[in-house]
Amino acid sequence: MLDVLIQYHQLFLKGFLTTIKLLALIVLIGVPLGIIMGVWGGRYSKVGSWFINSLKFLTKVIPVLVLLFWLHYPLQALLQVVINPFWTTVIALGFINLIAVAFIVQSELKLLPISYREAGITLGMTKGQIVKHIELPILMKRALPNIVLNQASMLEYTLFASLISVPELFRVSQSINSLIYEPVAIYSLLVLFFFIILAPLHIFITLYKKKNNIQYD
Amino acid sequence: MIKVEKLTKKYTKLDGSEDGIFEVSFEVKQGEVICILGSSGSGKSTLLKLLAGLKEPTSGSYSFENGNNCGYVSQEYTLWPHLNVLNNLTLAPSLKGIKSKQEIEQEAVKLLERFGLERYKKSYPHDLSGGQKQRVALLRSLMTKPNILFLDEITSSLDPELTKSVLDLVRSLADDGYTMLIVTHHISFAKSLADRILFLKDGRLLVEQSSDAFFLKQDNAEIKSFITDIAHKYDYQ
Repeated sequence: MLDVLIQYHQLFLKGFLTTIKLLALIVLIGVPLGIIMGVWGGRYSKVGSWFINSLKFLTKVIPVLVLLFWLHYPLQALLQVVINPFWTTVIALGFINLIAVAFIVQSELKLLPISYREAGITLGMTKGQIVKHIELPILMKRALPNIVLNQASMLEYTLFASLISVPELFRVSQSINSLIYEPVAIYSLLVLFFFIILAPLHIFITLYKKKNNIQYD
Repeated sequence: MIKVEKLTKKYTKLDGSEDGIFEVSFEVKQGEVICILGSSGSGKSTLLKLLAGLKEPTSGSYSFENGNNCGYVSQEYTLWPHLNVLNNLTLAPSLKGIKSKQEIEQEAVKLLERFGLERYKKSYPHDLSGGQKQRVALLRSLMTKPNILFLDEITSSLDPELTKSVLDLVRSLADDGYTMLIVTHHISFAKSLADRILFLKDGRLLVEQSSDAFFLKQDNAEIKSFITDIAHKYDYQ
């Protein structure tokens, strides 16, 4: 296994960096925009909430792979444009991530009891103080684990990019395997890669949830 | 201390009829304890929320003689779940920046000690019983030195034993001279504590009487029946 890694380290590294670049862009699109959209739908706009729920429904009933293929082939043919598969993946998964994060934030905002805010008002706190010292910390503790877990799913979804020829880690591994046919070593390396990244993340989330257990009465 | 004049808050129900409170007027003097009684939906909670600044009136007005620094505790558990008891008590006063954090903490601990809750200062709300939560919420409302306390059915979700512990705390606050407006279903508690009773029906102030006149010399058959029914249903004594 180590021999394969050493011999093809440059290719593996290239695939790894492509996967990380994909994930970084998906996170950068999905998390900040998702939080903004979630706050909009959860607190300020019924239309926004309806919009988020509708898009969430769409992402539930259309499989990720189907959406990715649809964006990559028929949509680009219809619009007569050609978009690099890397960016098609970023757009598709970024959109799915954005909707998922918006839905998490919106749901948590709707669950947040109004009585916490009322208590702050009657104690003379300003709106800004209530958001900063009460609502945001509670939301962070409740929503953060689900948002992080969603990013872990996004890392897994980047594997689909291999099917539209994005040279990410899985695609590179397949290419190497087609050259030297060492499936045990190559796919074990993949297992190791995902395990090393995702296992600590899941353990961290479990511990974080235990430590920051916020339940509403 | 508080002057309420023709205070009105209207809601339009789905069937087009109007709900809320209508042209309620009364005054509260310094140190008075007033209990607000009435059946469900009579507008008691709406009235307290208006006075606590949590709702905007449709019309009418209210004014506080010494500034509207009020404390409000509702029937819902309102302790902030991410903060322990001590931090629940100290957050709002420390944000005012008038006293040091240490001074505020000392005051909070003193208050907790006085009411037998000192050992829970590091506990989080989910570790407390319903009665303890409501007592801490009451003490939290005292931390900003309110001129008046609005207590809205603070025992409605508690069992009888826990109810007694909360009502005992309210009694000692009354003994301390706090001005209070209390919505309650506990007739014996209201009888023993209130100086005056406001009775609301369908959002209107039907009767405003001294506690003695209300309970002992009541000639309104509807109110008499209300007192009997509610006493059977809720009283812990």
